[in-house]
Amino acid sequence: MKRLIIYDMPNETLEAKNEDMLFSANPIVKPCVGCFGCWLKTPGKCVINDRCADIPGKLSQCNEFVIVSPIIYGGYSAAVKAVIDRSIPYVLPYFRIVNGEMHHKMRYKNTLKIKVYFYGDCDCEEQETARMLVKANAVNFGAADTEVYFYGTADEAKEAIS
Amino acid sequence: MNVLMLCGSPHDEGGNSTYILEGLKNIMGIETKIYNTMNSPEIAESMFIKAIRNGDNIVLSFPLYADSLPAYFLGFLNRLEKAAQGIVSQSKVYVIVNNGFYDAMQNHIAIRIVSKWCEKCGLTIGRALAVGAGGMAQAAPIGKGPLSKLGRALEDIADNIKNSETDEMIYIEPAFPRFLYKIAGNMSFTKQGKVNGLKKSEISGH
Repeated sequence: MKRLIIYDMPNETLEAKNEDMLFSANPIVKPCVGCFGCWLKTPGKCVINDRCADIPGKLSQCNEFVIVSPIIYGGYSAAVKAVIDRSIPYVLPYFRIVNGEMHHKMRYKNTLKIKVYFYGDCDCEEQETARMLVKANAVNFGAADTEVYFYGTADEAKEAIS
Repeated sequence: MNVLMLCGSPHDEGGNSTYILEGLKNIMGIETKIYNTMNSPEIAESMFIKAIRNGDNIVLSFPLYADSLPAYFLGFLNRLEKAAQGIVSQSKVYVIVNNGFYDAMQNHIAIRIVSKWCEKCGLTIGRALAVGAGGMAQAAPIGKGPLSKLGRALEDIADNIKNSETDEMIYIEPAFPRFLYKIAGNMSFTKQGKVNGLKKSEISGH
């Protein structure tokens, strides 16, 4: 099991186990500017050349995509979302229909399982939004399966993934 | 009554989110500036604080990025939430989300997220409009041809804003079939890649 772990835990550090690839969402990476360069200029690679640029390539090499994020309004933190937005070269620009909805065609052949560990205070509505969000992301990333967990603190989330 | 229009797209003029706000502005017949939250966050933040203190209604327009808000815009809303603490406001928030996929329904999660943000700011959400097939948002003048439904939706929301009403969500797609939108979109990607010197196989490669 090869995992790519994107985490936003400002006061914690993670240690890689086995083949884990770790990526801290802090400090926050430059945001996607919607230029389509990763699709139509340098296919598969973001044109912003920073530490986030090879995330789509790393996604193609793993079978588990793990996200650890504070829960914000029922979604990811801005720092985690910045990495996810920059991951779109993992898929192709081309459209296809999946489950009766329009989505992108896949660039790579690997199939991901997405596991998200949210932490922090939240209500039932936010948990429901978060579950919907992860499911929707899974369809867009061509992932086969999802798991979503909620924890009170970053510490508990950290313990859960290790 | 003043209306504050905030655009959450990294694209300024020429972008779909701005174009839709321009359309709304014209329908409302008001003179107001559209503030881009990425290009001028400080001004946009101070205008937001001023608006909620005055009880002015606020319109947010942004593109759907990976089933949610663009990361920068999300961070910007976090900042506004902190700045809004302690201010009691009558302002209502109207939300317009557009997505590149045809199905407008796919914007519903982003709308839930913005609704929760409103709640945390102590603001009421007035109405949300989800616009599918964003790639066609500028295919005609708003209100004409494929964009006739968008025109009607913006007229409705303009009335809601003027009267500070709350109303149910609107989902709209252009008067243009999805299978053609898909074909046209895919052709335009190949064409744009060619302009950049890429073959179709190279666009799909890695």
